[in-house]
Amino acid sequence: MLQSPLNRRPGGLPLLHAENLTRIYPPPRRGLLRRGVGVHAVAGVSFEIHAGEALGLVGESGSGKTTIGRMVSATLLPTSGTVSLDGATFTNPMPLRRRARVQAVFQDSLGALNPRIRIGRQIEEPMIIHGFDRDARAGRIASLMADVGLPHSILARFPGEVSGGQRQRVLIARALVLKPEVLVCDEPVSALDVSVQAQVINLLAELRSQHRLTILFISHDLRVVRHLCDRVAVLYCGRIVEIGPIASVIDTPSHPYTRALIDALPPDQPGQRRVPSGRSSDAGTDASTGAGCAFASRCLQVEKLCLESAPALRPLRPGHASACHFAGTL
Amino acid sequence: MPVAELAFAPGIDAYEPSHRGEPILEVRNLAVAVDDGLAVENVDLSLEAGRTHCLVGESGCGKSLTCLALMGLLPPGARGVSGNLRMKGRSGAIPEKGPPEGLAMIYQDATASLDPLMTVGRQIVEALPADVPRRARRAEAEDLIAQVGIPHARARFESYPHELSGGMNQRIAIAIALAARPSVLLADEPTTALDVTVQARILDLMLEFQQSTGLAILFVTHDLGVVAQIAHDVSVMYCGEIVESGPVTDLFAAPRHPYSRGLVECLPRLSRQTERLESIAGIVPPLQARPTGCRFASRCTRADDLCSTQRPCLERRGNTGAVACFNPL
Repeated sequence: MLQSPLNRRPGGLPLLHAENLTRIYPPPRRGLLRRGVGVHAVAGVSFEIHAGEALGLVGESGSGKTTIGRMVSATLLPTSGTVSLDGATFTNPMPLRRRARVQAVFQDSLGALNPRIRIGRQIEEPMIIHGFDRDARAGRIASLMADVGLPHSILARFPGEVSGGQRQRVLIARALVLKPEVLVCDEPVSALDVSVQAQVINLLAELRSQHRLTILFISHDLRVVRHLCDRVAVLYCGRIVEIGPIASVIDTPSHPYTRALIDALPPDQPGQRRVPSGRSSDAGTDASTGAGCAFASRCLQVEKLCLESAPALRPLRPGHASACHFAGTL
Repeated sequence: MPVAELAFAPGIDAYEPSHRGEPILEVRNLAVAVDDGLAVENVDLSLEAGRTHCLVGESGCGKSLTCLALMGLLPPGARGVSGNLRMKGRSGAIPEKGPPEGLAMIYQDATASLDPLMTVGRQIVEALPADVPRRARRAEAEDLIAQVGIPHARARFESYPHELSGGMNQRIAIAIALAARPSVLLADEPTTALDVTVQARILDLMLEFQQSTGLAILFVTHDLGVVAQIAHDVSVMYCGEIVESGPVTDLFAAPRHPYSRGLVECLPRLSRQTERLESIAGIVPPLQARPTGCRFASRCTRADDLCSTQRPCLERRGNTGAVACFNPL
């Protein structure tokens, strides 16, 4: 397990604090004046990340993972709720110096880079905006290239000319160029082949311990999260349904949805039979459902209570909480 | 192969060698030429009824091209295809246009593989064999929709692809493939773009069909976890060639080719948390710059002088499996 010395200081203040984050996407127009109903992509999500800690965020597509990532990296404003770094709340516009402290790496490396600008210039640009002089920029780029394991020659190429794995390293280099404290990684390895995926996961782990990075790692793959993260939050329909230390959540899942996610993973070895579980319907994406638990329609252990009242996120053990009426008896 | 080794295979009774019939589909010396050279070379495959053969490898190794070539659906960049195909006793050259009878395929991006302007029901009807009478066609298509686990089949018949989720569209794609009653199903990364929960249900569905119809499946994937779950046999592809082939247990327990070992080792696992994941150094050489010797030599830790000058051929090792390596593990 990758533990940093700063992890979970008792009584210490968290570095990053998301409180009651809610994001409603505006409804599409239907006709001239009528508007449809907005989608509650994220509803009342709160979490903290301590300095040097890596928090994983898992869930199916449409569960609100990316929306949370964008709000935490200050590229999207929450409809309500706040994100604060070291006690200072994100504002719009955000002062440059504070913005530099949180940076993001995205899944689609080709879409995140400008195809017509050379890679070197794209890595350098944030430093130009932040007023670094020429020598400082060159020095920083040279040390970064060594950190992310890219040859210097790549700086003169265009994004379309290099492989997917190399482009992902370019994105990581660009995110790190301003020495941020918090790195938001939105599915950074999902589009990569397994061997390259392993290289990039190792790189993130190394960079994390070298630079004492605090990471919010968004993924749909619990196997990758287990390798990189200290804690994990499981998201369903825009709400956290379970959060806790990674080993505790994977070994003793306390929400039926977490269990379904784990059971759905392919086995590590041939012959370890996976147990089919969960009802066969697709996940919803809107958190504004009526009364009752949002997972009730897919849950195998559903009871009358689940349809009547929505369970709140309640602590089970220190640091481990679940939003299930029957979390204790699973 | 000992029965015990196969008995675990999900939901499928062990096939003893003596009980195993002739392969349904045999491919010999498949090669596909593109502008820069041969993208696929010397590929031999053999598929048996009721068994799943997985084709594994990284992007660009020729997995998808192999499937497309078998279906006679070469992309515009491909120059030509050569090789022999033996299916149900009949043999001949691989057809350049159109799939051989009895072969059906499902694709990675189901939503894109469906016609956006046609209801999913009509697309299934279209794929039914010509001898199904006109009156029975709609009922049969609705049956198929129900069989692939979509509720309210009658209403769904009238849906368009954009009205359904990715997982539902993949089920429709499976229904279309099965409508033609194939004996061999080629599946090109059908679950890669789906959520794990949806993936699990699609794989279960394919296994159910395999059990009830004895379908032979060629399953292309780069996820070794999926291989562990569904494969009976595996072929590992690298740079257009098969470098190792054999039963799935052998690949996981004792891979022979250094590349296969690398692939198995770099899989992140839920049951094990290590300080570092193993990874294969370097990148796949591009088609124009493939080395003359073993194509894996530049990334291999066991490479010697011979490897950089001579190309190893796929040779049988022991009772099961074959490997193309001068210094196998």
